[in-house]
Amino acid sequence: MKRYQILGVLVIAGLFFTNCKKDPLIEDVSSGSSGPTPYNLITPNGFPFMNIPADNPLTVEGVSLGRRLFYDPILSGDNTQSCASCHTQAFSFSDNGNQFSTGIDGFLGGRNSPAIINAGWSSSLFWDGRAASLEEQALGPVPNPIEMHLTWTDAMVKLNAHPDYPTLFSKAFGTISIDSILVAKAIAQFERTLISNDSKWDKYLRGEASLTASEARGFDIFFTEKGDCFHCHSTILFTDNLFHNNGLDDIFTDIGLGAITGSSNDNAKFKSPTLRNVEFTAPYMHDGRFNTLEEVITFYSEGVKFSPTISPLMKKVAQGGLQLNPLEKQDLLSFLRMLSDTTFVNNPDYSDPF
Amino acid sequence: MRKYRLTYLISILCFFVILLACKKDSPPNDNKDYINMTFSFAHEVDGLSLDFDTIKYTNSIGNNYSVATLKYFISDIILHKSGGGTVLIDAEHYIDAVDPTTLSFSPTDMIPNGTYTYLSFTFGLDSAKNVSASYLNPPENNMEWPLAMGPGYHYMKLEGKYDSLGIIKNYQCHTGQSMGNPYFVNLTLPVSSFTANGKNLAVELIMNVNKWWESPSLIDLNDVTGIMGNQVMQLQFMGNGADVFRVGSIQ
Repeated sequence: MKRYQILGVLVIAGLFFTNCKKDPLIEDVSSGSSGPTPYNLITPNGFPFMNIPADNPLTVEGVSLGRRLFYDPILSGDNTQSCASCHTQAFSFSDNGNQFSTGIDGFLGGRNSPAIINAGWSSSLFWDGRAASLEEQALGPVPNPIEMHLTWTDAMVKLNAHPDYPTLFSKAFGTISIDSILVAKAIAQFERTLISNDSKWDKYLRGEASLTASEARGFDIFFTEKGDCFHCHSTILFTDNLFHNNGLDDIFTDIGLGAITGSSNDNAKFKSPTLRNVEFTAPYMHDGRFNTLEEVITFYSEGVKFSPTISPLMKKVAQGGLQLNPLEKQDLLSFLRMLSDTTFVNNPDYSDPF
Repeated sequence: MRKYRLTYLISILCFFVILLACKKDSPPNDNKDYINMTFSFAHEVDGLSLDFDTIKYTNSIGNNYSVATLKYFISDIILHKSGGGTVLIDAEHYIDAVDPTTLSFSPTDMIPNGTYTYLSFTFGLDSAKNVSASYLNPPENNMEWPLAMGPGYHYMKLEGKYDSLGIIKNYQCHTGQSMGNPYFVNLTLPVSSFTANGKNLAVELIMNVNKWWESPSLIDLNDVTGIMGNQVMQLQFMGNGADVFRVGSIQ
């Protein structure tokens, strides 16, 4: 009799598991002894829906762990560098004004360290888009020999031997079996919380600020075909998350997306970066060739070069660019500075927890 | 006896668990008085297949050109009944010619059986649908048309390069509600009669890109740059758009 009762319970339980769509949040939450606490991520009005992987829902414990890992040099070969070494909050999580980042062995990277801001809405990561998710991106820098230069095998040895991490992973993911996937998941959870929507532009949209005359003129340049910035730096995110050749070179030394897709039509295309907090993220472009925003504006005004893959959106390439006068350049700069969010770069929730 | 009672109890419990725990699937279309329609979108240039990023097409005025981007909205499909009356499919759909997931569209509206003489639709978004911030998510949100020149969304982004006396230049055929004035196209498909008789139908719509550059206005690609605020050009494309589509098949 007891056997049938057990069988009945198993059948019913089995039906629950096989016939119902899984709720990923509940699944992960239930995996620990008491389970991690769901993180209530509040996204700003007007922002897109944030696609969060079903197998990596945000939890309070996961975000906290990710923040700690982001700032912990334990993930580098000689314990001197963390993610934050090249993604510093004060610089909107870009690299301290450096053109290229220096790894633990003194090697320089080949591209400028991108800012991490509203990254939860990025449909691809890296300048060439080679990572499809924050989780995938986070797997890259640790074992990269010119960056943090630590094999994941060695990273696991260090994390498992650490007095705190096994417990923290257990709380976040319900397991003490730490692996690179869980490290990447935790870091990605933290990165999804790095949301900026408190710039003067946001305040203007909320009716909390008004534009100066120069900002208003810059607004017109940005959002009309005078400057035509809005096609690539579009939406509330100020990026279309797509790839363009913006006319930096006529001969390419870095083919960007082309190396990923294998299509020559994609040569020299790079991902449009968000312009939010652009004031804090110098130097500019994928190779950090421009030290100031003034230089960037001058490039778009007078320095655009034709090449076979140049974006069709670069309308005035035949004239070398937009041909802005000094006042127009200053006005555009005024508008770009409206996108600075000091709340974001000072947010204690994003800061070094150590 | 108790063994059978237990089996019976388990069966009943299983039945209710299945009923309560699962989301309902949509019922099959067993109403033979109505059908569903699927619309698919294909693109060509005067009978040639549309390949991207290669200057291989020639328009009526003689520009040799390529296509790099073709993204657009269609909306408000109207089915015109034989003997009068219409059925409106009140929906909109975004198409990116390089994204296969956008190339077909199955409205949820049920279409009553009957004979239809032709169909028409709006190319772009009519004024009621063309409201800024309607689309917050990609890819549609990247079609936004700035408030300073709009509002709303691009009806179409058709971009590429052309050969201008040996110099390669860019063109951007961006149509939309320019400076507050709507230029969406009410597009009628003359050869599009069909009969709905209980069987779902698939309609293939084919855009001939070259039609954008001709009839009634002959367009030179040298003029197709920075046209978002150009009322004359927007009006010309509104006119030229009337016959850019034909029906490939209805079956």
